[in-house]
Amino acid sequence: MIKLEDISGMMHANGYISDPQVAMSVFLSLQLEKPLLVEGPAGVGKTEIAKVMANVLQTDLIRLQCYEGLDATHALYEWNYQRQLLHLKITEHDTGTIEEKEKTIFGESFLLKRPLLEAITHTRKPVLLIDEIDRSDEEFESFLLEVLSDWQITIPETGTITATYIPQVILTGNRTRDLSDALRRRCLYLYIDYPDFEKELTIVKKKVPGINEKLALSITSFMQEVRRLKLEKIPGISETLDWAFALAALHLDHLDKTVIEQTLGVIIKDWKDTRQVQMSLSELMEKTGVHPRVQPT
Amino acid sequence: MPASLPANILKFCTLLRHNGYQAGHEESALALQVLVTENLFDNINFYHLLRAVFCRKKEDLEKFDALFKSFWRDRLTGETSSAPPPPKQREKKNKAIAISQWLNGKGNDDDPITTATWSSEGRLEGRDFSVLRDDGLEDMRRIIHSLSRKLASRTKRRYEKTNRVTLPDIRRTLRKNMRKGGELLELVYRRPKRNKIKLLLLCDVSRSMELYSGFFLLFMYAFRQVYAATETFIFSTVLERITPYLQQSKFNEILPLLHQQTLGWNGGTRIGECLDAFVEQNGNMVDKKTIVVIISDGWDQGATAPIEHNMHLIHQRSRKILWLNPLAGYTEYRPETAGMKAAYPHIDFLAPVHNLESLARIIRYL
Repeated sequence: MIKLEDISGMMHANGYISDPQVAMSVFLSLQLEKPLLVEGPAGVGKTEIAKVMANVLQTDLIRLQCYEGLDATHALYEWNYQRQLLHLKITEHDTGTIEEKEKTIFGESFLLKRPLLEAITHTRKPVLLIDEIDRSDEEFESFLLEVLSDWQITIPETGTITATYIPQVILTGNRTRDLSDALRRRCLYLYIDYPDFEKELTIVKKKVPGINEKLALSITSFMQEVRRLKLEKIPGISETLDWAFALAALHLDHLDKTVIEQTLGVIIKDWKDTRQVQMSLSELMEKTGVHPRVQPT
Repeated sequence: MPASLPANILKFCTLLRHNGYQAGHEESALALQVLVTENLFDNINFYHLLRAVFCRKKEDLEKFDALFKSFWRDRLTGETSSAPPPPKQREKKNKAIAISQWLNGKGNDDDPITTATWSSEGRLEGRDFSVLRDDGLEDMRRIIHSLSRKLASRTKRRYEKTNRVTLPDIRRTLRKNMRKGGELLELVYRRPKRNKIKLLLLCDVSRSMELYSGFFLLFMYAFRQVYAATETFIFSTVLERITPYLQQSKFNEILPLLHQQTLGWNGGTRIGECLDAFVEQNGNMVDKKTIVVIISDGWDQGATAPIEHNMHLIHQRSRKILWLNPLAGYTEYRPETAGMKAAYPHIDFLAPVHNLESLARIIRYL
């Protein structure tokens, strides 16, 4: 069993900078075998937790991406109707009773496993990531509740399948819709916010090896200031990292006005936001201590 | 483990429950179990553990620190004192008196209210909401109910593909199987396309809307009951989300609950700031399928610049914005208050809601 003290280190080794609250939540969810519901703004590393957890546990990650209109068949299983039909066609002239034929076409090889069934029948304890659960419909949410509590799925043609290993479940949400209390009660809850300066700096340094120390510092402080502006789409850590990668690839060692203006598209993804950042660029640069380079006259 | 710990955790859990947390014995037991097996008695781990176990949503996290500190300050150092009483919310009680009076038919008897749209037959549908007494409440609720039900079950004329076995989509089936030599291997189904809209109601409950807010509460309640994809906010000087309260089964139980839990009934109006707060905290809820309904008379004390800015943002993100103004029912009404003027360019429909007839007309815009 994994100890609480080790969790941060193990996640760090897999490239995830956690804090005590994240470590505690992950630890509890492992210990109690409870699903972990992770909420927070876009791009702060919600999905990443699941990936890292799969790495830490050295197991597979099974992902169920939710969207509006997702229903049970897409999440559980489907019969491979075409294959069944073709099989019958091929064996048309065989001598066999109808019962025998029926038995063969409702066998394992004609079953298309979708993520939930896949997770339940997996040969190792997998990590099941249910991404953006708030985008699915209420009906699907209540269906999910049933699966998450019983860990068994009934297929009318073959019978009930019970989980060999209970998957480690991570649900993520963006708060586009309020999730039901019933679902919340079954999960542990974790809210990840935008990181503070130190954490973001550590993440940049860890994820972008070989980045100039000074550049990392100014990128981080610039991003921290940008988040204070009232933007429509606030850039997350993934944007910071993209930007850091981009600037590191350009072999820059500091930020200046031209560079920021040219690469702004990496962090700001909205036309109005771009305008706003451009307008307050001088102010931002002053705050972050990035000074426009003095041109020799 | 200190002997008093289980009792204290239970007490703490009770305190959280009084503050609106969804915490029960199960969570307490869970916390204790982990504490004992993992031996996590240092302060930091203890704090994070309780936070992870008891919090279920973002609002819980925000309140947690203060509650944790107030409860465990003495206890963690080993002393035992009686639990602090849960914060009382009595002082908020008087804020919705106007509504309960309205609902009970008291209070406004001597208000000389005349309206331009009083229907001569005296039918309920034509009556102005501001003079409606509780004798008509039941009927009104029934009418709203049927209106919202109609809206919820509306389908479009077009069909869409579905995976459920319903109507066969012959054209698509044939087209798809043509490639495979005409053998009908794959079947495709269709169903009438559902008009899936989300509603987001923002209702002004300031003093100038006092006469109407009771009715709109009923309106929002009726909608919420039949149409699950509804989010509801009220605002005056502050913005508050009341969706969870409207999930109660009985309307009569909602009013006292709202008195207790929310602030800002019948105060002034700061539309700009409230919209600001809305975009910042709940902007995610608005998407291209969302119809935003703002119910306000547009009387505003704050600056107009934020109104314009935020209305623009909401307008861009949403499907459409409907502004319902009870005053717009009067024939001489023009959108000339500063707040209304600022918002006007970003509104798709400005419609009156002063009686049920006008309400029925609104449904068509949705």
